[in-house]
Formats: sequence, structure tokens, C-alpha cells
Amino acid sequence: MRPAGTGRSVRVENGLFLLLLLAVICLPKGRTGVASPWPLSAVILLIELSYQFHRLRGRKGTRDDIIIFVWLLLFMWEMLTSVLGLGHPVLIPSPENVFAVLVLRYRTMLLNTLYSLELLFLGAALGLSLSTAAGLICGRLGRLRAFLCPIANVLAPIPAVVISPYLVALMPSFRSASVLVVFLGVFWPSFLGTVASLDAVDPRLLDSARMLGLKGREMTWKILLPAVFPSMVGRLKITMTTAVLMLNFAELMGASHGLGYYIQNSIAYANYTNAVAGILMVGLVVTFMNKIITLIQKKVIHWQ
Amino acid sequence: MDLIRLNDVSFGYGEGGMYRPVLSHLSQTVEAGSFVGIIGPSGCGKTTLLRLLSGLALPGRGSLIVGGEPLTGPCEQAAVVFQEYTLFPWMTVRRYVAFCLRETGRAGSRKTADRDALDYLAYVGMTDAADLFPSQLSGGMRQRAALAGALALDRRILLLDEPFGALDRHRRQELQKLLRAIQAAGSVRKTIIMVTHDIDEALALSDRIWLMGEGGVRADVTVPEEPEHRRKLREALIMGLAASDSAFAYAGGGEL
Repeated sequence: MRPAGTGRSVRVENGLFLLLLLAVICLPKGRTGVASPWPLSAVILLIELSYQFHRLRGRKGTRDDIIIFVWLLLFMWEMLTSVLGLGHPVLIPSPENVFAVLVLRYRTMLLNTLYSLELLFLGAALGLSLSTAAGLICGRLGRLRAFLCPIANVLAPIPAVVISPYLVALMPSFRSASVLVVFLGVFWPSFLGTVASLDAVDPRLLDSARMLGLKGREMTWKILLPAVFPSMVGRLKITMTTAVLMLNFAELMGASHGLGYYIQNSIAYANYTNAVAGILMVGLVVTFMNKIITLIQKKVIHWQ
Repeated sequence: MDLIRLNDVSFGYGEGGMYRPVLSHLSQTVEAGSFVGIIGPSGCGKTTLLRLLSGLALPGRGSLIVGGEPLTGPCEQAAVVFQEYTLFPWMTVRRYVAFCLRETGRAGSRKTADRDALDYLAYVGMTDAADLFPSQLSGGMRQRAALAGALALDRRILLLDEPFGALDRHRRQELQKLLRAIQAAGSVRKTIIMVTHDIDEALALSDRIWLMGEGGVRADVTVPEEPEHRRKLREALIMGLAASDSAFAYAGGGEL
């Protein structure tokens, strides 16, 4: 299999990678309190290995551009903070310090991440399943649709984060309040999306099904659901990103665990190194989730 | 013997002040085993008529009798092939035909349905493409697969809504031949009603042609055998989408 990437971009990437590694390991630090370079170097090596692995497998895409951008960003961050000592060391932490938190305090990061993910999946799973069911039922029952859709149009634009302090006070536990915030953030847009997807199903598809004698529940399960499934999965990335946003905000309202709590708590104690590490972790989680969704899309909707 | 009878059928869209009549007081019959071609300008109600014949729409006035029974819903004696969207995008061609067999009770088990599906696909020359999805097929292959599904239903009536409209001339001719073979296949000759924009296609395939205009069928013409009469009919049809009575008398065989 031919490795992917043009000759020039690969050379640029290789050059930047070496430059970054040199800057991290060899250049003298113009700032005091810079942590050991080895956790950051390990992460850089890991990213490089992953990139090379995909390149050697011949995977096409914008990976060259992305990796060059990431190296440039890290290089600038390293040079401006650790090497040249610019910026306040507390407010703008060095990359060595941030990645040291990510790597050496991985247990804390992992626990908080898992806590957040648990609430996220609970709320999102409930929101998605109920909204899909409600959307499909409305597709069949015109009267229910005429009743629910105007209500959805009013409620959907209200950000769940706005009412989350009230929900935290209302619900018996912070956990249930968080799940409800995520649920509300996911349910209404997903419901309206499902109804819109049903409207977009070509009527001739339904006519074909009706000629086979399909109606009612069978029509819903065997025809409508597979027909709207691609658009549902397509919306999933946006839905889950919104859900992460809702959850992080909800965690600011009184959680004792979770990534949102971790970031908020770090900022409250002016520990911006931890805060930046937490923010990076949120980015990693969202990226990882989107990757999974893309894989699901490719596996399940391979017919498109 | 008349298999299909339209008795004073009227149909329109909208309600009250927005009502737009499409078909008015339409009375036609279709003999069992015949091939009827429906032609007419865009928007004259050809597809609407086909939907009424299939039972996908019901007349506002009048009645439709199919096989002696009034039609009150999707016709269980008819199979429909559209220009697009007959196949289900998420099913391979084999799965689609097997689905048709299972949903209509013509196959007892998945295994039987799968096996029989392959037979129908072989009949239309689609064995090699059995495990492809519609998105992976050309237009001609999609229509072959749709015809395989219609064949699998083994129904007396086949309704086609411009099934070859998007195909080139060569593919159209291939599929026209297949359609003729399908009509003759089985113990009972199928009754086929096909909407088409192509006058030559209608003349080549049909026993009768319904020329539609505003309000319904303006002329019901038996396609003659003699080449000269067929030529005259062709001319009349080309002129005659607003055809006058005399044009059809000239065509020598029209019924008005």
C-alpha cells in the first residue's frame, strides 16, 4: 500500500516534528518552574507514531495539514512560554507543565472524565431514544404532531444551561439534575430533527412500502426508521458536542466530580495549568466521540 | 374481460377555494392481459391516474373496480415500479426482492426468500449485482432490480410510472424487451399500464394508448398492426396532445 501524503508536506511535517522535539528537550528554558520535558515528549512521540502509522497505511485525508498545524501550535506555545519566558507563568502555563498534569495525574483526569461520560451517555441516550420515538410517532399521528411541534419550537431554543441552576435546585441530586440538563439539551433539537427527516423521506419510498402491504408499526420500524437513520447519525456529532457543553456547564453548578467541575475548581484556585489540562481533555473527549460516531456511520450506513 | 374499470372517477388536490381538479368524470376500462400506454403533457394527471389505479390515492368521486372488487386502498393485485425510489436504499438488491417476498407472504422463511430472490434476479439479468446497494447501481440496473421485485410479487397488474425515463435509448430498448417477456411470463398474461413520455415507446409496447389532457383521457386509441396506420397514429399523437377529433379519425382507429 502506498503511503499517503505528498513529498513536500511529509518533509515539512518531519522537519517540524524534529524542531519541536529539539525545542522541548534541548533548548534552555527562559522560565523557572518548567516541568520535566519527558511527558510532553512522550505525547509528541505518540502523536507522531499515530500519524506515521496512518500515513504508511495509505490513508488519504487532511492529516498532513492537521499534524503540521498541531506541531506549529505546540512549537509556538513552547517557544513563547518555556524558551522565551513570555507571558505570566501562572496565567499562561508552559506546555511541559500542562502535559505533565495530563500524563502524570492521569488517574484523576480519567476518573473525572469517566464521571462526566457516564452522565453524558445517560442523558444523551435518554434524550436520543425518546426524541426518536416521539418523532417517529408524530410522523404517523398527525394530531400529535400538530400538538407537539409548536411546543417543541418554543422550548427547543431555550438553552438548557439557562435553566440548569433551577434544575439543580429542583432535582433530588446533582447527578439527576445533570442528566436532565443533558437530556433537555438533546431532546428537543433531536425531536425536531427527526420530524424534519421524516418530512424529507421521499413519498414514493412510502408508496413502494404501502404496495407491499406495510402500514402502522411495521411501516415505522421497517421503512421510516431506516430511512431517517442516516440523518439521525449525521446529527449525532452536533448533538453530542452540545451535550458535552450542557454537561460541563451543569457541572459548574455544584458537582464534585467531572471535567467541568475539574476545570472550574482549578480556576477557582488559580491553578490554570490544571485548568488548561482539563480543557485539553474535554477537546480529546469530544474528538474521540466524533471518531466513534464516524466509525458507526461507516459501519452502519455503508449503503450510502 | 375487463379487469379494471373506472366509473365516473374524479380527483383533485386541495380543499374548498384551493381545490384544483385533475381528473373529471373519467370512465375507462382495461382488459385483462392488455398493455395500456398513457401519454400526455406534464401536469395532466398521468401519475395521479396511476396512483388511483394502484389504490395509493382514492377518487373523490366515482369508483374504481379491480378484478370485480371496489378499490379501497393499496391494490393487492397490482405491483408498481416508479422511475426512482422503488428500491429501498438501505437494502441490497437481493434483500429487497427477498423483502418483497416475505412481506407479501410469498416466502415462508428467510432462506427460501433469499433463494427465490436470486431466481428472480437471474431472470432480469442481475445475479452479479445481487449484493449491491441501489447507490452502487446504474439507472438501468436499478430498474431491472425494481422489475425483479415486481415480478416476485406475482401480481396480475403491473403499473409503471415512467420507469425508463432516465435511461438512454439502448438501455430503454433492453428493458422494453424485458418488460414484454415479463408480461408473457407465468400462466396468466399480466395486465400492464405504463405512463411514458416517449410516444415511440408507447407505440412499440402498447395494445392501447390513452392520450391524456386536461381533465382526463381525451383519446383512447387501439394501436393498429399496419405500419402505415401506426405511422399516422404516431403523427396524430405528436400533433395531438391537443389532438382534434379529426386528427384521430385520420389516424384510423381512434376511439374518442
